Amino acid sequence: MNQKNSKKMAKKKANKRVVSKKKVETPYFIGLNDPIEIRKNLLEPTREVIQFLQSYEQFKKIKEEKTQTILQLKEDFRLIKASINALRRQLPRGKIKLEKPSENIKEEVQKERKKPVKKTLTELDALDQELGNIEQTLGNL
Amino acid sequence: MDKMPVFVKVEEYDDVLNTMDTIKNRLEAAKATLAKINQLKQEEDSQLQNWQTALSEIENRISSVDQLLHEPEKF
Repeated sequence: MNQKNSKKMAKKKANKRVVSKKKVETPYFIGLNDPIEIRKNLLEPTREVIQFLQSYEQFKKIKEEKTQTILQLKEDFRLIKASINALRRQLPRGKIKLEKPSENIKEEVQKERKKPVKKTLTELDALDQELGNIEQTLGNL
Repeated sequence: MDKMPVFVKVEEYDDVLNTMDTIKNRLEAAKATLAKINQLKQEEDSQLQNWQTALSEIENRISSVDQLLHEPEKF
């Protein structure tokens, strides 16, 4: 019991020393001009940041809507293309190809054989090919 | 060659006209979709402009605070 009491007493003394040291340290303050203005200048940016976070959500929605609308436009173009193809099929096909000399045809066939055949065509490759065909047809007209 | 006439069978002529109408309608739809994309793009641009303004405003205010902190009150 005596030992415990003596330990407690020692702790209390140590605490008192710490407190007395803290009391000795004199804090220094720096006066700031126009504190209201400072507070105002810190609160306003906070408000702006909160407003930004709110508008960001709105922006995200607009962006998502735009992505959906772009996909819709792609679909619109696909439908237009399908309709134009349907119209082309409905109209009679004229003999628009000019007869070429047999030598030229042989050369073209050889060139085509030399071309490497792509095994997998992406959507972009397919569009390139289609565009090439249309340009060739237009060139022949 | 370019002046060769094109003849369409009478029974197919209606189909051709219908297809033309379909194309015209789809063109109108595409125009409307494009207009919507344009409007959304403008909204995005406007929002970006707002953010630009807000950022400048925040920068000015923080700069002002910084200036005040570096000029302590004199007694």
